[in-house]
Amino acid sequence: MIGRYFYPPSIPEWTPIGEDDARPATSSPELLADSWDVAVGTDGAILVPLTRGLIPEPDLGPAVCSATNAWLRDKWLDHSALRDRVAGAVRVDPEDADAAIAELERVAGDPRFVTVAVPLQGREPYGSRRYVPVWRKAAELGFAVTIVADGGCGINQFPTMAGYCDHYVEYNSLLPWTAAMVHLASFVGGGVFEEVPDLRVVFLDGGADVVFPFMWRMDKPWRGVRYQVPWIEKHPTEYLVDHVRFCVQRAEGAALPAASLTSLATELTVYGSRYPHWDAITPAEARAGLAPDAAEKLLGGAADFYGGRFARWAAELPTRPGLPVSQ
Amino acid sequence: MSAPAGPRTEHFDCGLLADLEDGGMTLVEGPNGGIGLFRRGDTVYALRNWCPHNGAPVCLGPVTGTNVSKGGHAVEHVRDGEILVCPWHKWEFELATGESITKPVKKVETYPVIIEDGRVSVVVRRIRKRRNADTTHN
Amino acid sequence: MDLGENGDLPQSHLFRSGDPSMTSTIAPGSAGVRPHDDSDSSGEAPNHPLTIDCDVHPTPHDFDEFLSYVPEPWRSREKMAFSTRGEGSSYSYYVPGGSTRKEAIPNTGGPAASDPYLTAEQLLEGIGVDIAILLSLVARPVANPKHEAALSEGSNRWLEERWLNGEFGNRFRGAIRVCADAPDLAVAEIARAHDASHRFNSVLVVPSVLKPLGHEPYMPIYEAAAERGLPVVMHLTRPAGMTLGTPVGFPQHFVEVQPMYSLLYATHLVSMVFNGVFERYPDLKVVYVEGGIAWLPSLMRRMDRNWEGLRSEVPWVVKPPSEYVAEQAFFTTQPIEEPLEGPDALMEAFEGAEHLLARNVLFSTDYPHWDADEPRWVLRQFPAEYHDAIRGGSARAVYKL
Repeated sequence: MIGRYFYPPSIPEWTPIGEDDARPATSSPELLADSWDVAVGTDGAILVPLTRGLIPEPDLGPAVCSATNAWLRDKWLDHSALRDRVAGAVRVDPEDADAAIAELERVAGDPRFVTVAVPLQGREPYGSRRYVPVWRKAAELGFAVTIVADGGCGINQFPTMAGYCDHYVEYNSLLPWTAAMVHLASFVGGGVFEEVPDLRVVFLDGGADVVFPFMWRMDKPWRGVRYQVPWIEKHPTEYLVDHVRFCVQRAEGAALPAASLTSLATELTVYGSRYPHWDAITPAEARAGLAPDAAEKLLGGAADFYGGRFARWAAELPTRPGLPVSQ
Repeated sequence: MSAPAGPRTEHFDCGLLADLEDGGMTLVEGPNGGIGLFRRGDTVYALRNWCPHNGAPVCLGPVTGTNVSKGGHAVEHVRDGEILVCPWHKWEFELATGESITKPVKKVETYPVIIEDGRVSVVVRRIRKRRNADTTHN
Repeated sequence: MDLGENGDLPQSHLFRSGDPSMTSTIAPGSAGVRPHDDSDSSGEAPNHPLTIDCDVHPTPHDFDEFLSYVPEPWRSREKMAFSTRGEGSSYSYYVPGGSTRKEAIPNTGGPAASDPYLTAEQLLEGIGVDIAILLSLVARPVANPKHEAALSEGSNRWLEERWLNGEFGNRFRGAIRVCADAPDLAVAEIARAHDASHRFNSVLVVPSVLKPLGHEPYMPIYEAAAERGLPVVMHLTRPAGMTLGTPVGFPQHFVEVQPMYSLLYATHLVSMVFNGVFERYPDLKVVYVEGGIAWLPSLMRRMDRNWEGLRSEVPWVVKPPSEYVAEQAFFTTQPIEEPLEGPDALMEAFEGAEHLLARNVLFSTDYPHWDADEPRWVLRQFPAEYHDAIRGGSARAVYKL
């Protein structure tokens, strides 16, 4: 049993099954299926299992990932009540490139695994050279890379740029987007998008609201220090639309998160609920304030970006009757 | 090459070729501001001392080569002596053309150079000085 | 501080071979820079909109000049051991090609911004700055806070004598450098320096710390600053061997790191808000220098949204975070964001938060660094209605000039 996550929120971390049952609402496939139309409300969803962080023991990390993937397939993707609407993220441990590549090749034959997931709280920024073989294999096999906040039970870097903060509200106001920005700067700074032109990355825990303010500050020095990093062939911001997306977040707006994003940032958003997290965002909340075509793009446009296996799965997805929005 | 002065241009005399630092940069005060003269043997490049980015005295920067990617992280140093680096934000400009080597291309203004009988002159536009003309970096 | 910058490092494709003999073509000299009417004594300010530069880095002519102001026992220790001499050179995300403008290097043999006359000519006359806030970074962060506190005192004494009391002293103001991790010594130094000269008008905290700056032990510093009406100024540096990491380890290249100053300041801003620093000290103002501005509206919204759901954890935060920020947090412009899409994209980032442009955005050059800004370029990025405020009006209010 995994112990408590080291920055517990001051309120329940996840939507419970009910008033008398504090277990997360996604504790069982049957429960998820029964509550789907109300709780999830989409035609399809990607199940992203958490492995709760970096595991220092070299063999254990990949083993936990493999076991997680097998569990996901057996208990969830195979489940009769969910089969028509879910796909899975395959977990790999980026610290062991060989093992990660082997795991990807092992699941490649199963079309229900449609994206690769790695923890946001990595050991090093993900553009560092030793990770590139994993990204290359992912792109080759048609997987976009999903980066998901998933830490706290194993080893971690300090969660902020200056050590430990005292409160969860600080943690939640900082980690999701600051970590994403460091990884993003690293992908660009290491020339990864040039080296793996088909690589696509999705940050599940947000950052669309700050990505341009942050990356403008990378554009500016780039033109002058370019000669030190000549593998960066164009302005950093010019890599974004082809390679990066962010799930829109409830915390990122005023009352209407997606509608409060700038036009540039809106182009980089996709919909992901992070259900059953306490600040999960429903489709209705996500589309609030958007014009109809923008709403359609947000809620249904992920397949265009992910491409590959995700797009093939999405194309086969039946429309669920009675939902307020269609996939 | 020679270009006769026209109604919109004038020849600005920059002195003797022999007085220009060979391999270096000599700054002269032109009619419209500073001009950097880069003598390389019998060739002279003339560039306006004004960076198109933020108006830096670009001619004060070093003239070096640059690096290009050979694929992956392999790097090659090329074009030694051809690249003027702005001392402020370090933008790289081709000495011969004034063009930035990154896009979108921005250009340091260059002037045609005439060398006759050992004297150097540049062809500059005849411009009425505007009230707010930048004289910060003459 | 740029002593020893670049010169000792080996040649490789990573290093541009500059021309070390290239010095300024602008001759040093007093060059007719006329001091203003001294607004210290008369209290009467000039009528025209002032240009106030909130980020200028003067440097000693050489390390020994600085050392002569450092108190014992650290001065003697610095001579033989414990030395921070040459600490400016490091592998820690140096700026490729050097971090200062060549033309700011005087002919006197010192590094950039070591000659008040040349600085006055270039900054006060050339760029048109009326008043410059001097932030000396010569005191490097070191592992021992008492050592850093001693270097800080030396930095303040040096700044006072060589710059604030010099010929252009009434155009300069200074920040009192303190070591945040030695709060008692910091409080004492704030008192000593401010009593010695009221041209010290702020407190400089270098955020090379291992707890975010809203943390309880730092409170006495804010109390002391607030009591004296001194804004706290935050400016980072990249000390050798003490580089702060990120939540996901160490980046590899300078071009990745420069954008991250914003992340560091966001961390300290969030910490100060949610630990109640602004609530506890309503007169305290904090100026975040060189971290950018465009990310601020998004972070304010994010803090507000999180606070709505998580208030029970921080009951001392009684107002929405964005209100504290708008009242008490300020941000300098350099290096001003220059979106490829043009200034409209920058304005879009401030939609719904335009009031910040009228009050919280302060012009700065970062003279003499390579990416220093000048007012005419910076102001191009903003609508005309905010120009006077950004150029110096807002800074006048913050620094009571």
